[in-house]
This record gives sequence, C-alpha cells and structure tokens, in this order.
Amino acid sequence: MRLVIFNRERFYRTFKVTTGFLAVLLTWTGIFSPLAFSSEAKARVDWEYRDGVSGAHPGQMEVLPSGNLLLVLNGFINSRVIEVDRDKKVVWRHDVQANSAVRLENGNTLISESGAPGKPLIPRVVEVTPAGQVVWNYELPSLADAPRYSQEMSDGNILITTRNKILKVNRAGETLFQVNADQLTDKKGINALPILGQKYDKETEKTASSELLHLTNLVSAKEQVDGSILVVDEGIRTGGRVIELDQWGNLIREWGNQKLVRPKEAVRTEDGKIIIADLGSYNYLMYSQEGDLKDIVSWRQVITELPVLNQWGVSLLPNGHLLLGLSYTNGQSLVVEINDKIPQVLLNGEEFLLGVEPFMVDGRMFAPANQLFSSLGIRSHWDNVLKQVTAVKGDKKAVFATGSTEMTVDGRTVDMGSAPRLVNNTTYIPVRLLQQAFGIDLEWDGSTRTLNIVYPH
Amino acid sequence: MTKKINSRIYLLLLALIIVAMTMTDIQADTENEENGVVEVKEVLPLREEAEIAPGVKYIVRRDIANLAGERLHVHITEVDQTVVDTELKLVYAGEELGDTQTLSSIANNYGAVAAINGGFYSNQNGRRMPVGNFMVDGELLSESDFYRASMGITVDDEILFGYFNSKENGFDWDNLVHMLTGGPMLVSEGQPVFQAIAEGFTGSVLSPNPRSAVGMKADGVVMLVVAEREVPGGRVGLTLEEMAILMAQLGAYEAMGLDSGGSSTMWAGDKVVNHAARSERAIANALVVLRGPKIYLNAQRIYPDVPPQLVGGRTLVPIRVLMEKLGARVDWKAETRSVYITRGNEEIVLEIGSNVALVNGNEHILDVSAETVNGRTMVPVRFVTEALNGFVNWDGDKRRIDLYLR
Repeated sequence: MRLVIFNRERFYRTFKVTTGFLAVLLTWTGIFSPLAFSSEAKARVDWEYRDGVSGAHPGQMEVLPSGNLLLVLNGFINSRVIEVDRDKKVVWRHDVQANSAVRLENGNTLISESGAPGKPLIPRVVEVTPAGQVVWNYELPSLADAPRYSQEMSDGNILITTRNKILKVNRAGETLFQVNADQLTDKKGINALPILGQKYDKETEKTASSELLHLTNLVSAKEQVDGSILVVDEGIRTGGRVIELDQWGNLIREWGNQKLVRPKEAVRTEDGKIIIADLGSYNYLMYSQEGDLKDIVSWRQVITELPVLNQWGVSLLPNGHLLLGLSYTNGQSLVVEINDKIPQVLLNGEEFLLGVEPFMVDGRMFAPANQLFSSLGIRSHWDNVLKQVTAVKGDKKAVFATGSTEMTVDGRTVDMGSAPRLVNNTTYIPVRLLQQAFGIDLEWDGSTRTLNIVYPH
Repeated sequence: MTKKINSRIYLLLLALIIVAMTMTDIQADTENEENGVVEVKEVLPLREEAEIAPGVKYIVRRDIANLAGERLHVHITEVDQTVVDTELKLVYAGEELGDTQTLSSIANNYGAVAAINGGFYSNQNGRRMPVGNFMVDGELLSESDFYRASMGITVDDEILFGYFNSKENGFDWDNLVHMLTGGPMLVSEGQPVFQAIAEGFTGSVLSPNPRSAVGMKADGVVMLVVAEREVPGGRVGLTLEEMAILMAQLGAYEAMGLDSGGSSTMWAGDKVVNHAARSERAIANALVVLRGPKIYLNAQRIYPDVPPQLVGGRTLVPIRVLMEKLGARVDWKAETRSVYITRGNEEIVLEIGSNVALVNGNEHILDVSAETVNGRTMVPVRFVTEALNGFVNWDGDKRRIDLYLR
C-alpha cells in the first residue's frame, strides 16, 4: 500500500471546492450584504446611535437609570435635545440649541441653553417638563457667559459652568458662590500659558507682555458623591486640567499638567478614586484618592479602526464603558458605546480558543461559526445552490444564511435579531443562534464581556 | 612618490578645493539670485504701521505667538468709516453671483485700497454660492436659517454682528445695505467666545489654520485681520479659540470669523500682503475698502480701478473709466502729453498739467487740470461729462457724483 502523503487529485478537488465556496460566498454576500466586509466588525463598539439628521453633532451625553441616552445635538441647524432608548427610538425631544441636558429626579430636565439663534433668545439655564414647559430659568448676561453645563446639587441648588466661571445659585436666582477659573490656578501644578497677543491694561496703559495668564475652557463642574466638586477644563491647545473644589468653591487640588490634552469628563468613584477621560490623548486616567496616577487605559485602537473625523465628547459609564460622541468622515454623527475589554468566550468556564477574536455589534456577540460548531458537536454543511448553511446537532437542524436575520429551526422560522456575517473570509454567527437553534445554555457577564457556553458532554 | 607627482597631487587637491568652494558659492548664490538680487536674511521688524489712505491703516504684528509657542504674522487693516470718502463694502467676485476670482482681481476691479476675503461658499452645480445670508447694495441674494454668525452694514455705515437668522427674530432688515454670513462668532461685547462647535463646524476647520476675521472696536473702527504662522503652510496657524482670544486682545468689541485656511487673503495698498501672495485662491466674495466719492453713471454705480482723486474741489478719475463706462474713445499723444477723448461728434483734448482744454476745437478754462497720479492719467470727470453733453450732479452729503450721459 502506498503511503499517501499528498494526494494531488484530492487536493485540487478540495481546493476547487473551498475556493469555489468562498468565491460564491464572497460574491453572494458582496451583493446582498453590504455589512459583510464592515471594518467596524473589529472595533469594540457595543452599541451605537446614529442620528439621521445632519447639521448637528453630539455634545454632552448622559445615560439615564433606565438605560436611555439623553443626548444634546448641537450645530448650525437641527439643534435639539433628545432621549433615545436602547432600541434607538427617540422617546423625548426638545428643540433648542443646548450645551447640556441632565435629567432631574422629578422627571424634568435641566438644560443649559446657548441662546441660539440670538436675540431675543438669551443664554440661560432652564428646568423644563417632559411636555416642554419651562418651570424655572436663570439668565446669563451675555454670549461670553453662556452656560456650558448645569447640575442640580444634592442640596437643591444649581451649579452652573460657563467658559471661565463656576457659580452656584439657588432657586431664587441668588448667587451662593462664584469662582473665576481664569484666576484659579495652583501655580505649582500647572504650566500657565503665555498670552496670545499683548494684553493692554487700559488703566495703567501698559502692555503686560511678561504676564502669564491661564486661559480656561471649562467643560463642566459636577458635584461628586462625596460633596466635592470636580471641574474639567479642556484647555485651549494645551493646559487641560481637572480641578477639585470643596463645597464652598475653594481650590483643593489640581490634576493635569502634562498628562491631559483635552479632558472632557472626571468622576470620583465611591472609593475615592478619580477617573479622567481625556479626549485628546484617547486615554482615561485613574488617580488614587491622594492624587497619584494609578493607571492609563487607551481607546485609541477603537478610534483608528473607525472612520472618525472628530471626537466631540466622552462620558464615563457606571459599568466601566465609555460613551463617545463622534463624527465620521462621511458626515454621519453618532454616539458609540465602547469597552476596552475584548469579549471572551469560555467553554464550561475554561478558556476557549476560537482562533479569531469575537466581536460585539449592537450589544450582541458574534463568534466564528466553524470553531464554535466543531467544538460543540455541531455538523455544518454549505449548500452552494441555495446559498445557505445547514447546521445539525442530534435531532435538531438549523438553516441560516449570512445577511439574513431569519433562520429555520426544524422547519420553524426564528428571528435571530441580527444576521450572520462574513468578515475576512470567516463566517461569524450571533452566538444567540446556539441557544435558539440547539438549546445550548449561554451565560453572559456584561461587565467583563465574557460569554460562558455551558456544554456538558 | 616623486616630487613631481607630489606637487601635481598638491595642485590637484588645491584645484579641487577651490572648485569646491566656488561651486558651493555658486549654488548658494543661485538660490538667492533667482531675481538677480542676492538676499541677505534680515530680521523683519516686530511691528509695522502705515497709513494707506485717509482712515485706512495697515499694521503688521510679528510679536505674537499662538498657544503652541509658534510665531505668527498678524496683518490688520483698520478702517475708520467716519473719515470722509472711506467706505467698507461687500462685493462678490466677477459679474454674477457664483463667479470666483482671486482677491487681487477683485481689488483691482474695484480700485480697492484694502480688501480681505469674504465668507464661506459652497459648490452648487459648478457655481460657488454663499453659505448663509448674503446681501449686497441692499439686494438680498441669499438667506438661510443657519445658526452661523453674520455681519451687516447699515445705510448709516453702522456695523452689526450677530445671528441674523430669519425675518422673524426681531431684527430690522430694511436698514441693511450689506450682509455677510461667516462664522464662528469670535468676540461678543469685548469677550472672546468659542462658538465653533455650536455653529456646527467640523473637520479640519477646527485644526490650526491661517485665519481671516472681521471685527469692530468699541469706537466703531473696523478691523480686517489675517493671522497665520510665520512659516507658511496649510493646516498650521491658529485654532478658532486662539483667533477669538487674539481678536479680543487686539481690541475687537465684536468679531466674526471669515473663510480661512487657503482662502485667507489680505490686500493692502496695491498688493496681497500675506502668504496667499504666493498662490492665491479664487474666492466668491470679499470685503473691500474704497476711497473717494461714489460715482454713478446713469444711476448705476461704477468703480474706477484707482480711487478718484479730489483736487481743488474737483474729482479726477482715471481715463480708463471714460473708455469703458462712457464708451468714449481715448488716444494718447506722448509728445504733447495730451489726451484725445472722442465720443460721437464730440472731441475733447486735455493736456496734462494744463488748465486749458479744447472741446471741438474751442478753448475752455479748467478749474483743475488733468494729472498723472502714480503713472495713471486722471481727468476731471465733471468737465469731461458736460463736454460730452452729459449732466453731472454732486451730492456733498452723500459724497456721491451722478453722471448722466445718453
């Protein structure tokens, strides 16, 4: 008997079949499924919301306890505040150009209005009911003092942030404290910026060319869980910093200096750590209670994988995810929820080598079909004529195709919610298919993005 | 080695050294001698100022750096419209809305003593149409509801900055002569404002760039400003926030951004003064500064390509105005330094510097003679028009000369 090391005929046959299969699959998906070669497949985008209206892009974002997104859309036209649910339906809308919107406990929304499009409208902070009725307002004197952020504090008073001022007012409109952030600088910790032109002092009639001035560009002042106030100053070109004030507006501490390029959000966690999201360096930085830098985590990889034109804002979510407001190069503006953790698949609690990384789309995990099937005792077969995959396990049979959200399980039509897709010559299926077609138990841990497949055998 | 070979080698080496030195010199000089002039790298003064015309001052500042520490060149033209016969005007390029021209061409066509590029424009079927509001000489040519900063000039030469979005927002549109939408708003009530994001600017316009802006000081003097890096280049210069701060520090009480980047161009005196001079972009509209009384022919305004001169109470205009606008034929006789103007059956002869003119052979005494100003022949417009059987009306309040000619 000859030892067959290389059977030429079989090789060519298999080769033809495989390439034929791939060629057909590629063509088919190319024509019928524009998502097949989406470059977004690799990016760790858990969820995204794209607003179809142009002219305005995402500004300040907040995730509500219900999971809905409260989003400010800002631009030269179609400016508005919207609330979007996880199914991407707009459930509330307020047509005004706003710089911030936060939901109050009583169900009303506190909005910082920019004053657009000009007189007779003026910059102001308003509390508005779901029906759109203004029940409280506080006016700011000029465009230069337009409110950028406003928050209702735990004592019921309102904390307002303008470009360079932080003020706390009560409901009667009286100022409880006011801080000018241009003067607020811990000279030890910050590199004060040189002035741009020469500052001419009308009174002394002198130009102070040697005078250094800190030019603030405040994003927000937010009361934290411990009563302190964290102020984010994104700076101008440089000088981004985070300032901590006590409840009376006194400077306690400053972070930033060389580390921050364009910070947009700072949060004090319950255990006292500070997390700062820096849009300019695509990092979020974690500081200890004492102010020591503990860790830096980057989301740069995600940004390079997406066709991003501009980053507008970032919001830190309680579950450790990041919300980014972006514009794509094609003009689309959107909000994406990303997680730096690569989703993981475990088999019975043990690491499961899939060969290629699974990914998330709209909160659903996709994993390579072949590797999953072969490890789970599922036989699969590609029908070149009908252009579909038949997967069989025991007495259960499922038929599906890339690009289609519907599969047939034992003759019944089942909606998978999302469609299997072809990426880099690999067919990925929504892992939910395993449960829907074959009753395989799936355990999902959202915080670690880990899927455990329970497969006793 | 023999002595002979030694000395040959020595000579050879010497020759090579001399040639090398000469060649280096030649190369260095070739670079600098492109124009036949050997340039000596000199340090430009940090600040220069010149009065281009009454009420029009051109200033260059080289003592300013952006917030990244890069040195800038800031070109400022200050226009005081309270000075008699100094006018700030909005114009579009070419003949029709949608045409484009370089700022030099526009400035030359209008006889501008200073000019700056105008607002943003978009491509619509090959035509470059203004983005936002656009009104010239009281005619509203474009209107939109965009939240983008606009600048208006009223009939009383008042300059207004704001968001003039629709006829409903309470603003008096009837009082306007010119309106231009630019953006973003840079200075409001003396304070820098950062409106770029609210006005929906995206992409590379938010990066450092050369910038153009128009502002107004508290005393009403208009500032036309182009700020750019000392080193020319695209995508370098100032961010919009830096431009807002700069305009406030230069004394603007209100200011608005104009089209920037490669469009940033300033004309002062008789040339483009900023980096755009190397390669001008064709733009759709511009703000021009004109001098001299306004001249109208048969109720249509005409623009002498050099400003009219007021001499002895009489207005002189360049001879070309007569040729093109009055349809006269003009001949020049160098030996007698005389201008022969013919139109229909009328013939006028003017001699430079002489207050005796001939009209169809008859002598007339002039109040003021034809003159050569900066190489251009200028003739008294009233005399010539009346000699051609036209009618002239002078309005001293409005600073306006109306010529009527059949």
